[in-house]
Amino acid sequence: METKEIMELLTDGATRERGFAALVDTYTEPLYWHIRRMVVRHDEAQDLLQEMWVRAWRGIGKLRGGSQELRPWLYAIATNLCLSRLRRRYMWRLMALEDVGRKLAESFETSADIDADSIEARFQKALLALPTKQRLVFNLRYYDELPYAEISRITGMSENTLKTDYHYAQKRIRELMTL
Amino acid sequence: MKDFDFDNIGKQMPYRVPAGFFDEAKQRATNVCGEHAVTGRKVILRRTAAIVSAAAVLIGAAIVGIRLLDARHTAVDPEQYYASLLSEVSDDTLEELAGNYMEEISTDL
Repeated sequence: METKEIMELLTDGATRERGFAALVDTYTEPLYWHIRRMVVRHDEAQDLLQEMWVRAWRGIGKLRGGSQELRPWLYAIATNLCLSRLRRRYMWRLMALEDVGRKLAESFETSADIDADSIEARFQKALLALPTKQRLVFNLRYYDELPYAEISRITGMSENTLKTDYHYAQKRIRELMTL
Repeated sequence: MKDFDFDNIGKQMPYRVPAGFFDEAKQRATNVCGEHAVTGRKVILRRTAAIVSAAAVLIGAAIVGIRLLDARHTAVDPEQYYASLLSEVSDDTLEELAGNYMEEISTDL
């Protein structure tokens, strides 16, 4: 179903549940992968995905703007949940959010469901070496292929900052993968 | 050394999910609509019950406090106090006590 159609169903109280089901059907997979890339562990990603849908359902009535607002709105909820979880998880170690990648890389290496020697694993480890916000920008642009204008609405960062971050992220990954 | 080419890896990831995970996740997410509606009503009921209970406890504590203060400040009338004590003693006991008293007096004489 098209996003425009979903939005129409969501704005009418009588069809809202049907619209929400369509929304879930369309966005569960991309949002799960977005969350998983941010928090690495499957159990945590599963938990955050469900929490994200609860928040989306609660806030759906307050969503303003056209259908083009739907995707950035969902991604913004998911992103904020991820960043809050990472902050909370490492807060007691007095670790800044920007440095959590190193710890995530450790949990990545010890995950049973990951083939740590594959080239994809090396690529993910290189990603985890980036500062958290740079990693977020890279993921949204590279994997989700979102336009900078949309990433700007999700992250609250200016488009120029996003472009610079993406450029540095690519450069750093290339360096790490060439080693 | 040759530069890394992003096209070599594309969007492949090393992460896996259990079989049937997305179907279950979608089902759980869709169930949120009904659950949240019930949860919303439950939350309101729970909050109302908590407010009523807290108010009842406060009112009860205030009444007990006022009574305790009243009791402390009320002067006790000795006549009323002994009358109330005597009213609790049966007539037979009173007669027995009176008989004992008369015996003591007559013995002293």
